[in-house]
Amino acid sequence: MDTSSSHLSGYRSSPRTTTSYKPSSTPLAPRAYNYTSGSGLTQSEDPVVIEIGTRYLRAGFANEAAPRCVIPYTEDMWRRVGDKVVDSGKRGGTMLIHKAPISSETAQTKKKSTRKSRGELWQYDLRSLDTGLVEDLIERALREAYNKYLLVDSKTKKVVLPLPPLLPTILIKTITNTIFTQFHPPTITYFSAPVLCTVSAGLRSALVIDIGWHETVITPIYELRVIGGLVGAAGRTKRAGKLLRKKTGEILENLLVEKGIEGKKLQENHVEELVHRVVWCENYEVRKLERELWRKADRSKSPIPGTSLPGTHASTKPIFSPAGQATMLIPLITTDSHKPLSINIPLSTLSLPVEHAFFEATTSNDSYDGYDGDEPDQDELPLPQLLYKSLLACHIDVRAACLSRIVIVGGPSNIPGLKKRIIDELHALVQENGGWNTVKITQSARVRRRGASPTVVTEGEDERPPPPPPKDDVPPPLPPPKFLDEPLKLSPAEPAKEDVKGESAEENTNIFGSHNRIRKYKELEERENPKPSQPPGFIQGVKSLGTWAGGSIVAGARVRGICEVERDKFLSAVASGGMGLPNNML
Amino acid sequence: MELDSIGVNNTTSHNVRYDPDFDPSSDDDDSPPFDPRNPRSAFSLFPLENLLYCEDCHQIRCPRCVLEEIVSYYCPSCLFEVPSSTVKTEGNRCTRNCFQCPICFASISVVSNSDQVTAPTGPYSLTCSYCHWSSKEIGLEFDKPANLTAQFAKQLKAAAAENPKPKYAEFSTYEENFARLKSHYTSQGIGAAGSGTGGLGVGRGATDDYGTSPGTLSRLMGLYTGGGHVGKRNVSGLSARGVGRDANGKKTELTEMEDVEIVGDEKDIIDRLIQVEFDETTTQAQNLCQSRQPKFKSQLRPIATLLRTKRSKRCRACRHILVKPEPKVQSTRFRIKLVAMNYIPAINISRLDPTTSYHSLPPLSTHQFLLTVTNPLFDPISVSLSTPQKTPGKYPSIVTILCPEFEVGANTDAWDEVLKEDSSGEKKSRRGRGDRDRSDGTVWDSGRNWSTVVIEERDEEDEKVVQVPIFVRIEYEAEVGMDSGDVGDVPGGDGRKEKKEHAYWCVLYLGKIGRMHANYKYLLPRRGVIHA
Repeated sequence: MDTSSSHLSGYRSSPRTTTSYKPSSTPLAPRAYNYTSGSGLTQSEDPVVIEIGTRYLRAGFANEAAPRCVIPYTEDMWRRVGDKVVDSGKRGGTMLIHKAPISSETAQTKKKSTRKSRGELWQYDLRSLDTGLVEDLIERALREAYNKYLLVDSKTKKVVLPLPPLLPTILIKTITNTIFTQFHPPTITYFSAPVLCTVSAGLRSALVIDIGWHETVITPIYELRVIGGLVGAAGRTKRAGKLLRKKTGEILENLLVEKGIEGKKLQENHVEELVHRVVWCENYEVRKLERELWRKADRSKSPIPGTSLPGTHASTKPIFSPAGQATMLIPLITTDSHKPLSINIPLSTLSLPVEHAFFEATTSNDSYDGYDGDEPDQDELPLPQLLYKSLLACHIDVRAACLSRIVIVGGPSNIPGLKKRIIDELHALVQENGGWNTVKITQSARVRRRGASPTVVTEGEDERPPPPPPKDDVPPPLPPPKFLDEPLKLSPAEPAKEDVKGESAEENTNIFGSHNRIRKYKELEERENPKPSQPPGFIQGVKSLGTWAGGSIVAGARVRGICEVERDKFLSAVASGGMGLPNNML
Repeated sequence: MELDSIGVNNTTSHNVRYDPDFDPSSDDDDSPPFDPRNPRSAFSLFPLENLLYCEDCHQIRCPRCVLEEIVSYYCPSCLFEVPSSTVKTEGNRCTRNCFQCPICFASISVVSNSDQVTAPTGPYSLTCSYCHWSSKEIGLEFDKPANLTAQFAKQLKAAAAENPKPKYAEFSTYEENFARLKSHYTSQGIGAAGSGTGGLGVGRGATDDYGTSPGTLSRLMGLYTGGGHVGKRNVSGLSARGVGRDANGKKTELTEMEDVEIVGDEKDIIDRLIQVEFDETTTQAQNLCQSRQPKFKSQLRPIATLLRTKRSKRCRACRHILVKPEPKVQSTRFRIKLVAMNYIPAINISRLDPTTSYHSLPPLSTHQFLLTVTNPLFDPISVSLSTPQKTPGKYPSIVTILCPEFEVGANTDAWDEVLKEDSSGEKKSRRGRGDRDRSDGTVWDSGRNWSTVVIEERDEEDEKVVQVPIFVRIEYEAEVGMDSGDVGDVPGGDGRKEKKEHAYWCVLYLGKIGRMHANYKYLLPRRGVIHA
């Protein structure tokens, strides 16, 4: 178990050590026979694909288009069995409330610590995470999935588990442990979630942007490999679903204040509902016009409408938005009452949360004055900037493949207009920065370099349109002396995230073999498979059916996973105090 | 006994499971008191009705410590028993006429759209009698009032073929995309074709230069994984990876899909969003029930009713069957049903002062409740209750059980009580609130198979539900062989008695402490008088 060979995030592999892990890759049939009774033979071949996210659990059978169930971790999941809840309005009711809606302000602050995580399976701050509670929750949700929707004997079904690249190991172990001890599947196979997203987009390479709940993670995929760098992903930012909900709440609360209704707080669940139902994203052209106008009118104010005092923008700015002056009558539910306040909200306001959450330079509300607008905090880079940085950190070949294959997934990516907007913003950013070159190469260096290796330029990268990348797709003889010892073009700004600069030479060979191999491969690919080529460097987003659908296809084709764990092995390893997971996952 | 407002939760052996040091028979002081405020307690506490009892292990079994097996599948709406062979292909849903409303999830029925009442004719539609949603709204009508699922599928198919502007375009996009994607991969032979079955990648493999013949995707994904085939060959270069050979020895390669879907500006959705009312967008709950996650209510489809199952349950430890229902759908009988209520005394709580409201117990004062233990067993039991002096938490309540150890009579014939009361009327006289000193450690009241003691609670401020963890220990002497099932060994029972014991934590909800009123100073002395 410990000598298996690959790494979830791509490349800590060594083909020599495969033998001891081989049992997992034997055909499944014998095991299936053991567990099958009669007609269920074909049944037991399709594994159950379980995608465990921070907010939702999706479960279903491989080869099916959609999961059989999507189970949200609602507050009810935290409730005791048999507890009945009455509205706090119905005081005359007879049932006691275990988790009563909290009405008073003091109670809210007091209970904040225990309540803050309701609705989320975990937080990434593992210091305060009770993994036992996570186990309980997963068990409850999975029990519902198996007993209500899947209706199969969980003992007979293999489980396929997509894992996000940055999921902490302790959570992987917690999930694995729960599934094995409670549901007894013969094996669990792990797949990297962004790879599955790539598969379900019909691609081989892609830049996967997963806008999750706690954070957005960017993972380049090249030839269905995670090119993750040392941390397992190219970039992360806290611009994600949770922030979007927060910003939506703030904007709507400000709107209430503006309408003369003071001191109201909106219910979190309701805000989330609104995010889901009515929040949308303005397109890039409109925002650009607005930004220019703001810049001209008042340089001291923020470039994005709505950043300054809420409401002022609506009356002062000319309207480019397709939403125009349209309004929508929306019921707002506050924390202190169950009677909704119906408020007419301009649709242009409903596009602001996305601006604040994903595109504005900072997430902070208060410190805008003192903020110089150049360097946001490391963990809160706006999505286009993060995207640009991640691409910059990619190897040139990877970048070339990824640019026209940007895949945006995750819950908030369903907000209408958001995907296109991100792509457009990236486009503009690339133009603004003049391509992908962080170090400006002098003309002489360029000439020198071209002379050094004229034959290896495989793609017509010279002809790149607006973002003309430097001609550094020739890794070994890199012109700037600074990089001479580095085989690949890397962003000097982020040395820590270099993806291919392995610490050891051995690793390096294992990752990519060598760059020659890639090149060779590319050449071969082109020879064999000449494509009607679009201009290289063309930025374009591709839709994906998502992680679960990818898992369904891959598991349905019985592709062997990166890593498979058997129940007995895992349990005995855990019993003897180990992690139970193969080393390549740790 | 008044039950209306208090839930009594019994814990199960889950304490044991999660805390291996916890031994029910050990002294209480060794293990920390159960904390009902711990969020994990929500997963180990169950009402008594939800618990089972294993006669072989002599343990309470909760829904989490049983193994379930499906006995039969049926549709809860039409009570049709579905054979297990077809269940999966039908998606665990009723394929006859049962649908749920996509708006309010009530079950919906077929109605005729014609005006003739006497002889209804087509077309028919599905209508929700609760929220008045009708399938007409989405343009879904049926010719016949039977076999709706098949008709629905037919219409969808027809609509999908209706190009370029299919009537059900919104309906079919997701599934179609998936089908397209799948056929793309299938055409490339992505699967582990060498393993034979599965249908994917069939027809390749014999000429492959790997021992087994994994498909292209498989190979590409298994590239660095050591997933079997990689190690077999000297890695000469990447070029061989991801490349398979077809039957003619020609190289095939996993290609990307030609017509990938490019991210568009979704202007149609935004335009529509600008026009519609708030009510026309789907809620999250409605959305999660649909496979394509539609944005607008007009895109919702009726939901086929989920099948339900009858399940038998086994003890996780000893695998003995605890519950076995009759497989017939209409039958509500059980062949085996070992519920904990028949083995574990029920604990009820009620207020001593009927004027107290459970929902707002006056803060900073003492309240008394009556705790009644009812014995379901045919042997008298001795009960000992212990509780931490203060309930866990920052603002603890001080809890005292005035009589922690007492006896409860056997669950004998109900007539016994009547006869007994005639003879010993003095038991009845214990009742009522005289000026008897209640701290003398005596039982407040008792009957045939129940006893009541007083529990006193003095709370601090804070608006919260008072939850009192109580450790219950029951001892009784039962005849050997009575419940172990081995009657054959002890024919008729030789009268030998065996001591048995149950010990478990349970949590009582006493009530909710009310808000501190501005004039609580005036309230307090009055309450004090009542309880003095």
